[in-house]
Amino acid sequence: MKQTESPAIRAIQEIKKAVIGKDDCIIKVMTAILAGGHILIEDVPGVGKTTLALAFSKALHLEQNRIQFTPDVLPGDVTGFSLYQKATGTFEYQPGAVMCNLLLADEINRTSPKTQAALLEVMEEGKVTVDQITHELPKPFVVIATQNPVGSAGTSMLPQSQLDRFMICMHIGYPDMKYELEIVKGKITTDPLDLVEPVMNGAQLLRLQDEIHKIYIHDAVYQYIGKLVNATRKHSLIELGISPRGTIALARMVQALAYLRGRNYVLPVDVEEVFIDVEAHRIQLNGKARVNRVTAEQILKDILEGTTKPSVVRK
Amino acid sequence: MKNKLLYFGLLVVTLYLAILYDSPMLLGFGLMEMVLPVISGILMLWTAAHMKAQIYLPIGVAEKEQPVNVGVRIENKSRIPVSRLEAKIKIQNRFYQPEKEVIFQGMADGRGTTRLTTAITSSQCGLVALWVEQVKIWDLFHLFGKRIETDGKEELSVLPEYYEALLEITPQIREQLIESEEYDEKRPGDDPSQIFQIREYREGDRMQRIHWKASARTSQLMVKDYSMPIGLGALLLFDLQVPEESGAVFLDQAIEYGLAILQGFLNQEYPPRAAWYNCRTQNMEQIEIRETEDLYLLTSRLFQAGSYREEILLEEAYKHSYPQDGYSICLRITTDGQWWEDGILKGELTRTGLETEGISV
Repeated sequence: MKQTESPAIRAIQEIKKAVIGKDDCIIKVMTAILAGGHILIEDVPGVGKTTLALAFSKALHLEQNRIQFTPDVLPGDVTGFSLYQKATGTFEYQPGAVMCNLLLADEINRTSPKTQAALLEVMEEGKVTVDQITHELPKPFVVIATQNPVGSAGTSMLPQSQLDRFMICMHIGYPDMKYELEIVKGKITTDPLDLVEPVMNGAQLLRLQDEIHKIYIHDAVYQYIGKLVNATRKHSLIELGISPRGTIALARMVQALAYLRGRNYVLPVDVEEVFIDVEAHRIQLNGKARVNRVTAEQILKDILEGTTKPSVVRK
Repeated sequence: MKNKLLYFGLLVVTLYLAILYDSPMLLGFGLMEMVLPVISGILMLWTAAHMKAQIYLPIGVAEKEQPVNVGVRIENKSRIPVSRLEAKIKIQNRFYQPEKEVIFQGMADGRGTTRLTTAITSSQCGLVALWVEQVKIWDLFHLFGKRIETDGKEELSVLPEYYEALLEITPQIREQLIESEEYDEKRPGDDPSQIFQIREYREGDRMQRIHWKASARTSQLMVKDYSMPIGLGALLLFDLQVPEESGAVFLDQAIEYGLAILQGFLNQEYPPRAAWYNCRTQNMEQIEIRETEDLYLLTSRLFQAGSYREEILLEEAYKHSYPQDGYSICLRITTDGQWWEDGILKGELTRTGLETEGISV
């Protein structure tokens, strides 16, 4: 299939109508969705996180729910609960927010650890168990969660060990001023989300996710991934390196990225492109790094530069 | 110089042969040999005017003897690539005056940014300043060279070795802490005789701390935090004076011994404080050491404080700066590896001695 015909590429073009000046963010989110993962966006309010999620749900024609986390949100609001029906005399399951294809979990750090754990468990297992009855989640199921790093007093930031559940952790950031003015002008005349047209549905997305698993990864690229992961486990500034889950996530992401680039094979440059986004939130820095304000991104960039990339030769 | 000699030699030979054999072709070659280097030189000057170099340091912290990547980031706004450039980086540890330099060569792409890196190691800890002294580019024929604009300075923090000293705290010193009836109002501790607060259970809390009655009342797990007695803990003074007459003096050992002793206090659950004289602000500074991470913070602050020449009576200076802060015992480490307890010289420290025999306070 030609790249321009790919429904994923068409979806990206549609989403760009609503989210202006953040093409790289759109591609990262689409790559993570194609790789079958969840996305965590850490950013200040008002940069377009919700617009991004809504644009994706519209372009991919996914049933979407939004849950604004507050300290009083209960696990049952997320997973659902059983409600006694007087008419029938039985308990009926009331679906929670997760019973959808795309869940926007806003400000996940504002809710209690117990409610966070309920969502994270559902993300991991792909099903909900309420009163010993298991309910399968709809497929595909994607979570776009957001955290506001500023004003964290009274909040419970997701612990490092739980961040591993997310395929990528990204920052949208403020747009360039010229794009910001374009957004302002656009918002005054029309809602940019109205411009987004659906280009595929959930079933097509599932087929794409299956196709992506068949994208070829050469042994040399696997070795390259292995060297990068191993370097994080031996680095003097890293307490906890990349887990096997992180290694698998990286392999899935490079396959998805190769697909978006119109190839049925992965190149080392694909690994370079997604390595930091996929792994920066999965490593734990030790005290020496924290005190000296060294970031995970800096360390991973140094590891990338210090690891020999396999060369690609056209036969 | 070698290239220039070769060029002039070639030019002379070509022109000589052209005249000797009255050959228009050779004359043409000779003319080209004169014109092309000039054009190449002009292009080199133009390229140099559109280039800039900055120091490149991906990670600003390293351990002693650990290779660290440093280099230069070359920005070339012209389309012309550079086939040869030479970069000179200067390195200076703030604690030790002599500068070192690292020279390396490379190429630069046109219309882009190139990074040239090399690995350096430091056998001493401290704050190491790095800057680009000079970057020189050459033309295509390697005949003419020109320096390009450079700026920027970076600092690399080379950490000391962290290890643990064996420490014996005498019962008289320890009892001063235990028997204290004053408790910290802001931080919990380990004294079960006083409850600091009751709060919700968090992952990692010990089962023994669960407050069962409060948990039953609130239907969720609640734990109790104990209080921390504010007794007179230990004080360790870092004396970073380097006498005028000394040559290359290594401050590593003073800092490493002090950190090791503080780690020893932590392991004995005896809260220490560290203090030092900051010659830049001309003030005494101190920090409470509650966990290992505080030792890294202390290291960073000692690096910022720097060393000094003049003799300072640290005990008096501390009492003057912190008259409210008492201590059960005052240790002082000097740069010649000696240690003092309450103003009395106790002996010389060595790493092996600290790790195997330890000290008694």
